[in-house]
Amino acid sequence: MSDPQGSPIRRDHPSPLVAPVLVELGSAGRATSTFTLDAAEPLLAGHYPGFPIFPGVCLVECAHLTALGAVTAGSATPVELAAIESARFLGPVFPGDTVHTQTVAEAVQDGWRCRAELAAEAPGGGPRRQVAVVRLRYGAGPA
Amino acid sequence: MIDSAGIQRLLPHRHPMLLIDEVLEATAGESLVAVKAVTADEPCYAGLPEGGADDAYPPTLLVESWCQAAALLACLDAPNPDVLTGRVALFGGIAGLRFSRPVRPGDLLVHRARLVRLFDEAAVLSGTSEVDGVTVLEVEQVVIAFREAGEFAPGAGGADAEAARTASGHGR
Repeated sequence: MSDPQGSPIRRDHPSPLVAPVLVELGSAGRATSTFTLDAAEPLLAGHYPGFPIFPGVCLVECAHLTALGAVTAGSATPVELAAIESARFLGPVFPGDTVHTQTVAEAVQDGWRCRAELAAEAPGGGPRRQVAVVRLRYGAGPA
Repeated sequence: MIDSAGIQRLLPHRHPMLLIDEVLEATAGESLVAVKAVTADEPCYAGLPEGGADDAYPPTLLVESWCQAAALLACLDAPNPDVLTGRVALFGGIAGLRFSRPVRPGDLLVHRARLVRLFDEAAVLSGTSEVDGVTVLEVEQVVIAFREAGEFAPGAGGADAEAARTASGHGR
């Protein structure tokens, strides 16, 4: 199996995505990321044949990986996704689009709550379209 | 009750995103039970470090798998396995999904979906996923929106959102 550029796939965690979600950590629990949806991303072959469209859960995956970066950076113990409190899908993401994710994490009594806003940018630039708003909760993972 | 070939006559999803193996029970307009076996051979595990400790099935794929069971229930009466024509089932929104323990290769997921409300353009569903009788996922609400395929081409963004808002305005 190879990635969209033909190189062997390398991942550091199980994921539906092959191309990387590139996360940059900010301050005060903030993080941003970009993910460019290559037309050769393997999951598009099955979602759907002849009509490739990025699955809504993969937008949640972008939000999760971005928020997890911010949450684990501030934690000495492992954390894991405890809940998707809500997700609203506001528009489609097609091959070639870049997904820009902004998250902010807040420590709560038993973990962290994160809010993510996701926008898509068509190839060649242009205005960003809001595509999803996701709220996630994290708790302590296995030690 | 419905095997993989039958599922492919109901859903447009295909490998590697067809995440239901078999439907065990289905009552149109009410409820459905479907299974998926998680294996170490899943595409999501390709390319991990040798002997890596993290073998938890991605929670997002668990959700997708449950949602496919929900989509099967929502379209039992009017299936459309061809996304290029007719109505397409889209993810409108989700609320209150709780993960109670990780899923790993070797686990057999049993998804239970219940139809809460059905509208012309959307369905609201809830349910659970279990492994060996233990709940691994609780789903308070998922909204699936139905849109005409032609309305939903590149450039026609946001079509699904409208239906989702309509549904959540009436639901619950």
